[in-house]
Amino acid sequence: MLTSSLDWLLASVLAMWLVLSAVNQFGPDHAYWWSLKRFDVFGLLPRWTFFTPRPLTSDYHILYRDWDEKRQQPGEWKELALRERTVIAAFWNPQRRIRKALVDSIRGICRMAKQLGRADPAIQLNPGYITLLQHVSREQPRYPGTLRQFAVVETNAFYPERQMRVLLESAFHRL
Amino acid sequence: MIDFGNSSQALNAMTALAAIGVAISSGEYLHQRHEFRSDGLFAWRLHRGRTSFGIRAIDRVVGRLMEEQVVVILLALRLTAAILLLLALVASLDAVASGTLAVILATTLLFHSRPGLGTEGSDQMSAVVLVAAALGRWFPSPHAVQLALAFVAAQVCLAYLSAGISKIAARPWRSGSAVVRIVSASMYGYEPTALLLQRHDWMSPAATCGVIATECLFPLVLVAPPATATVLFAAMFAFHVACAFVMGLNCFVWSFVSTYPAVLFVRAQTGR
Repeated sequence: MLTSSLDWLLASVLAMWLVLSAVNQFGPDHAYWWSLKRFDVFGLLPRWTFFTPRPLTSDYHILYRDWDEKRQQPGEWKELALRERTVIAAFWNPQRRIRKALVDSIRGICRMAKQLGRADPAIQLNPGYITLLQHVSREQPRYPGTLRQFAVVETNAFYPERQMRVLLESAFHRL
Repeated sequence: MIDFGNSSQALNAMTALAAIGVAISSGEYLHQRHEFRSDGLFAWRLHRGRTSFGIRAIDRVVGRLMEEQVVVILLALRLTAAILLLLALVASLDAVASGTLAVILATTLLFHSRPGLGTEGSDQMSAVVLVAAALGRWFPSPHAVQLALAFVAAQVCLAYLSAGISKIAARPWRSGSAVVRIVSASMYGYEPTALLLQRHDWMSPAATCGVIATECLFPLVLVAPPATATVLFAAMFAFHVACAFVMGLNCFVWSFVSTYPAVLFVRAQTGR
């Protein structure tokens, strides 16, 4: 039984938070809702709809290649390998954050590419694109100041018959 | 079933379990601290344009706190605070528990305001639990602890129910193929499990149905008879442990299981 006005105040705040959390599950695409969500700078309105509507069911491979100045053509593609997960990951899994950040970046680019088309240069301003570009730029180039391109390829990892799909091929960027 | 009729006991258990998750999560980020460098995946310069508190002075302070060396110090502080919080709860040192909880809460909210860190649902639940724990501990009202626990219990019921209902609405889940397809991708998959599910056609639909049913039915733990409630708790706990081993989602175990003392407390209040 709530006995004081402070009890009622706290109960009201928590009830409001719960109601807004429940509304957030539907992800209402309404200007009013988005203007309200702008105030949620701490991300306290959770979204509990895990692995829906489209769960992650394929693997993303990040590849890069440098421009070969001598031959005046692109060099060989190389893959940025991520470390394999072991049983220890059930208790300690630092790689998870890296993988998640990369997947979030890739999915962000794909969403934008779906809206604008893959060839739209505005994609280069997508935060995910810039993140991936930074990620591949860390690999040592053969020649300093060379041009580098990256690509994202989608595969279905553990299925016997492998299918591949190129999701994105970036422009060449100077390192 | 564990009896959490005492609200302080339930709050402490919830906070302690959440603190373990915070310690692991902070340790994992510290392990990847090189990614906070200016050429790393989590570099602040990549993401600062996506965060604004709308007040320039606050944005400037947050920007300073997000710089590489400061972030590493904050993560180390968060890890230390989580360990101290656990010890303080065991030793019933209230002042230490409050102080360390404040540090954890502040750093959690700060990191939550920053995009691009590869955060996930376990971080969301952890933030909900920590804010509620802080309100329960600090808010000067006679029933703050009980209200905080009721809120956390309601949030976890909402979480499972939303997860279940959204799966019913999603085609890959309805078709029964979602589980085998998820574990067949290396992001959240595990090859032996994937091959097992691919070999036995009935397994994926069975697992899909099991996950959806358990998630949708979970809120019944608040009112169900002890035997049914025990089965639901055990099923969800097993689900999280399985996700940790198969999918590598280790922090979900701590953040979601940390809500169970709150659920048990609310259940005890309903006379169950």
